[in-house]
Amino acid sequence: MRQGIGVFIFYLGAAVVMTFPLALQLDSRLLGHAFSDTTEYLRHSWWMAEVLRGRIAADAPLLLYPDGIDSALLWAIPLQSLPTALLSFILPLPAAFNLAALLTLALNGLALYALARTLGIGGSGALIAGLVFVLYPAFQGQLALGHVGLVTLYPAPLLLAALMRLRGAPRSRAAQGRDLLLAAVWMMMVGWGSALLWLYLLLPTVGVWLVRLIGRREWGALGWTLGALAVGAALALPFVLLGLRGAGVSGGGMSVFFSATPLNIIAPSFSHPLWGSLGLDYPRRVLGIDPFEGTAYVGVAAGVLALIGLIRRRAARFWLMAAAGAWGLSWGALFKLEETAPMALVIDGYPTHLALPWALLERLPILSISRTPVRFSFAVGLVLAVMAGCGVDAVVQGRRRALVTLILAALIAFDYQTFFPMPTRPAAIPAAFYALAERPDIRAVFNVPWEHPLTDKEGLYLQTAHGKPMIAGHLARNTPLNPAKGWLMQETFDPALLDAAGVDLIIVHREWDYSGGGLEARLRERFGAPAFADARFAVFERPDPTQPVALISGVHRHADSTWLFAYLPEGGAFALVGTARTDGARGAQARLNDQPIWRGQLSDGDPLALPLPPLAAGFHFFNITLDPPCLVPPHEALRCATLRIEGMELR
Amino acid sequence: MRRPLTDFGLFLLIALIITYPLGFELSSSLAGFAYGDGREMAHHLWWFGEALRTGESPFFMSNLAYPNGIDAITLWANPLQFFPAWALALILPLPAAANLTILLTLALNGWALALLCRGLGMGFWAGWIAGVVFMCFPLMQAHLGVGHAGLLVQYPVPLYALALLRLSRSGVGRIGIAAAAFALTGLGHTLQIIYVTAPLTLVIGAAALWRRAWSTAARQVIAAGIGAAALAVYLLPTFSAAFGSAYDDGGVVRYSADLLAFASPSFFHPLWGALLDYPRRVLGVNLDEGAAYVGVIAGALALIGVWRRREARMWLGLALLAYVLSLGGLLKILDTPVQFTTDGYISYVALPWGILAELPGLSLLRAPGRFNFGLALALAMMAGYGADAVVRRRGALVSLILIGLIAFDYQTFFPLPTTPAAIPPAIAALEQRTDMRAVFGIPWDNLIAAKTDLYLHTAHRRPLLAGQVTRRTPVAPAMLTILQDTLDPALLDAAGVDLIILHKQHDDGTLYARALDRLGAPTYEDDALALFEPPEPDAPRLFAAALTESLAVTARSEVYLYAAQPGWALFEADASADRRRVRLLIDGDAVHGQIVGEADRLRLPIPLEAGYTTLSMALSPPCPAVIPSAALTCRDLRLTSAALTFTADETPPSPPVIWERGVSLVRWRVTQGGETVSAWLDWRFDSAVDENDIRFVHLLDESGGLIAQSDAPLGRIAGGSRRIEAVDLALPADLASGTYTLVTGWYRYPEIVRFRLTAAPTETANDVFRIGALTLTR
Repeated sequence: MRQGIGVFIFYLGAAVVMTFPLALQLDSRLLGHAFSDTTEYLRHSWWMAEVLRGRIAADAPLLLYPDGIDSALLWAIPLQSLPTALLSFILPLPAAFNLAALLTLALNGLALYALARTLGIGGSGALIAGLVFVLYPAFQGQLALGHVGLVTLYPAPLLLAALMRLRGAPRSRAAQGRDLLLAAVWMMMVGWGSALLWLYLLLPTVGVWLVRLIGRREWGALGWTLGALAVGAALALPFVLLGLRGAGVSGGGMSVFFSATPLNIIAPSFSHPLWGSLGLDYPRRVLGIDPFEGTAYVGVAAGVLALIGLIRRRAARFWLMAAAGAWGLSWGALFKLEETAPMALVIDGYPTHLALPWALLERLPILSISRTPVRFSFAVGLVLAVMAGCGVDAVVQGRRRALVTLILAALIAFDYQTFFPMPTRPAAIPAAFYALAERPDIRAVFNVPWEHPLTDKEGLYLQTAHGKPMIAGHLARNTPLNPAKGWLMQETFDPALLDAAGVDLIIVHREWDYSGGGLEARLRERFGAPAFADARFAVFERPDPTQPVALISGVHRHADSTWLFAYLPEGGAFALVGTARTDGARGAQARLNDQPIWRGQLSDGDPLALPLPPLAAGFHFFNITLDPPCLVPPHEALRCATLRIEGMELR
Repeated sequence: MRRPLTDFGLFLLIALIITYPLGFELSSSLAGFAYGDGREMAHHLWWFGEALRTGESPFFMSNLAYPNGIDAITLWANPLQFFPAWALALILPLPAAANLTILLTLALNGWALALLCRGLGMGFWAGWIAGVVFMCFPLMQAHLGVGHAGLLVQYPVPLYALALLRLSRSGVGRIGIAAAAFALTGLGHTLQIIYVTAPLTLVIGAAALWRRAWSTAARQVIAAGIGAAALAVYLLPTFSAAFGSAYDDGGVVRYSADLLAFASPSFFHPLWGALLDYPRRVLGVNLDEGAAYVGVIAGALALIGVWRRREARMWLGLALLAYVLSLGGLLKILDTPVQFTTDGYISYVALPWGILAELPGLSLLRAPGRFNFGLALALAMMAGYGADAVVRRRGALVSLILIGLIAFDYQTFFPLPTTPAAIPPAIAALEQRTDMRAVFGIPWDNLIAAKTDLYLHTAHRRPLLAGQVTRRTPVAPAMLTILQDTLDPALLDAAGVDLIILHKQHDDGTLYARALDRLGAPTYEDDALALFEPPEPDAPRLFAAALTESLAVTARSEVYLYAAQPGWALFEADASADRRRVRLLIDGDAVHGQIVGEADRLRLPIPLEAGYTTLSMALSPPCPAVIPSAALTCRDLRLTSAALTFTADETPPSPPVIWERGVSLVRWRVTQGGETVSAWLDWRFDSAVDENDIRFVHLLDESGGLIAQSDAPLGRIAGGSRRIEAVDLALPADLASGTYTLVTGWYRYPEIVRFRLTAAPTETANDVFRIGALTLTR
């Protein structure tokens, strides 16, 4: 036990060093880059704490006002937000968040240490293994994104350790049963930080483990293992169902963007104090603008140790298979040599990319929820840690073992440093927002530009101060707000329309107003001076409407589609009219509120007169787009076909 | 001795059965469809005897591509394809020689495989069954159907495999035999080295390494290396000709096997064809290259072999390797490349051969389906092991039943398609017409008509204007197209054409009507052919061009021109594109490039020598042949109002004007239209020039005063390049009457130091060359 505490403190120290200077600014700064999800997760933790304290009702429509978002998802992945929520009972929210992240990292190391010991690796090897797992650059990249749920990894090594014990020497049924139950619990908990961890961590590791048992015809061990996994799956089922029940997760895709190149594992961070100064070009090309999702650097020190482990320890070779599998899966569906786009080639006149196994796997049920195959490098980190531990175990012996271990630890820590210093952002919220909490007359706030994801994240964080419902908001990724509502309210700033939607306050996020202050200028023109303004925000109060809201519509063109947004004060029968402009006969599809209502062929100059089903009063959106939709041209000589609707309107 | 002969006789009997009714039509038909290579191959067989009879070189077909002839040394690269038939053709009718060679080859294939099996310790009947599997494998029959006699020469492969496997024991002789066998495998069809020999060597070598039989593997590598070197020495003289006539037509997708090909019997099969629908969709129009049906009986025997015999598993490795490679560049299901979208990207499923085929040398392998010759070998071996494991009691009876079932299951055609070998007497009678210089078969660009022409040639023996040794004629398409498009007696006469054979089956009536109009009534006509003799030309033709007024260029389009004497043709067209780079090439040399926007004009003066010229317009990069989604479109180039205006040179061409740094002006002309004077300049660059090298064209008055100028860089140009430009100078509105001179030269910026003029046909000063003058009368 004492040894465990010591090891835990060692890893906590490593985490503090790695995240320097976070520990010195626990309650004044927030872990994560300015673009990170930190603010979003903080809001969710705040909400959990408020619900637990009984200050707000669990079903209060704080997001997507007045409909609300079912937030069951947050309870389905409790290790993402609950630790911060609980710590916030005794600490300020920022400090609770930062401390929870540091503790989680230390627990990760401790769990890997336990796995290494289970595998028979000595103390030095296990210590280094755990350290590699704490510091692995992929996890540092996730920390910088504020993904505290995704770095909650400690149940996975503990699950693997329990599974290894199930295969061990003949033991009593009671001992086997105990480990089966332990494995099942850890199995359940693997997905508590993020349900995707079941996929990213377990598919390559447990999958290869099962193949190994089958290959060796160890049917008994296979039975125990499958039993543990089945019980674990049963235990996890309620959480899965809870997660599936929740709404509010919208926006997907980008699985190609969020995939690795084969070079990611040898690409150190360009933010590293040494590697970044060497002028290496390829890390920037394979990692992209920032070393976040794509980071999977194996490292010189850990890589050499893993290699030694492979050579000297037969047991390490199994882990190599898991690493190779995870590495291959991290490449995603299409082969890339650079972060930005998949490799394109023409084979016998067919422009194509190089499809990888994930292109098939991502179509399978369950696996299809993943949009970031690059995170399979988490499993690379886990396996690498074990192999490096084997390497240390093979070479670090004798009296100076402690000293050598410490030197190795320092080398690994230096090699792996992905940021220096760790990106953080200010935690302070202007007092004016806290003051809003005292305003019972405010029904909801509208953060603009609403379509910018960072506006929505920032809006969520501001909610921890003012506590008022938001028109938009989200649980993950993008807001599910009806685009007609967001677009029309933002384009018109019509007091009557805003009033009808319950908007009493508008917060302009100046950083994300790409119109160069256009939003704020329009608000000043219509609403007068802001009630509050600083460098980042301008807060406007909606004036009372002078006339009732009328039918409002607007057309928006985006790539190969034409959108029409409308607000109907009264329901009725309408038709969509316009004139098609195309570069040939093109397949087209019309959708009403995201439901297809028409498919057909349009040629240049064709008049469009689509009768619509009866429409209720409220916001509606229509779009006409190419069918099939336009895709990224796989060849420079190709482009998207043209389809736009001129004079699109409702009649 | 008796047993091998009996064996061979029995395999020959099976060959006769599966090729029914070929055995009954040996002299009257040629094996294979009319669109196959049978008639072309027959011509090549015939040529050997013809060359011996007439004293011509057997390495050069002087009778083709009149009057130049075609290098035919590539035929000598494949002696096992042609030599036996060449000899037989000296004593037998040509069709009989060709057909008999095919039958003997098939029998040898089966016999050699049986030898391999027995050499590896299998029983007599197992060898027989394996031999039949190999000989009858649907891919063999499919290639027989299209007359690919060279590809049927597979018998060296089992012998090579046997020799390689026997290298488990040392001995210089064994290595020598294996090396010789290696070389033999490439003498039926050179590319078999890649399709079969290389995968086979790889798998046998890998098996030795897996067993840690290091010395065996070393001997195998040495044997293969010596064999490859020997083959390379033999093929060396043919390489340049082979690569010179090789066309990268693509095909790694079209001529690849479908994923389901292994389970798709021929749709021509008498039973399976009636019962099953999917084989037609799997094999599509690709029966010859895509056939890979494993078969029910052979497949079952192979499974048994793999299950029961450890030795069979190496052959399973070969089968899998061959099959994966045969799938070609993209995965196909139901003869359609599998397409998917992910994250907004559209893609096909690229396979290993899609990448490997991009390697130098391998890009000429356009039919990956042929890797399945390796599958045939591997399957036969696995089936042999399977038969060896199960055929015990009543071996002869069971084996004969199995052989019958395999042969039936594998039957790819019934009956085998054959093409009548008879040639109309009117064609044969042309042999007597010694006044006839050359024969022009039209449509010349129809590959089947071209093959028929070759075969007819064996009867009329008059030179062909086109003709080919492989795939398509090497004769310039400019001449053939203009002759065909115009059927102008003067042009035909100038080309030496005294007879036109029109293939009516490949003409929609347009050519026939044109021939009637320009050449008069045919001298002979039947259902398939019409013979026309061009009348005496009544007037020479100064210029001709094959150009349509409007065209869309997606990759590269050609315009063909003919000029009776040197001159310039001005090409002009309205052009529109989505800011695409267009290159113009003359006879393959890039001479001009420009970015074309929504409304631009292409204008290029083309210097012509007497004869035929090809102007090409190429988009860079070209649009891919396949547009993978209806939502995507090609950024093509549209030309309208395209026109060519020819004016002959009034004076004979001058020697080039040469400046330092390898810049030379080869042809030039000055024209005046309205208030503009144009200089047409044809530049050559022996060394590179860049953006700081400025070409100037100046209009000077009589006192040397500068009236108008164009000083512009031609851009970054590599050494060995050519550029043609039309430099237009606007004449000032107030320009007085008088004589003005147009000069050109080069200088370097920013030094403003002129390139020194080193050679010019006329006297020069100040390093400028006078390219012309104009007299203005106001």
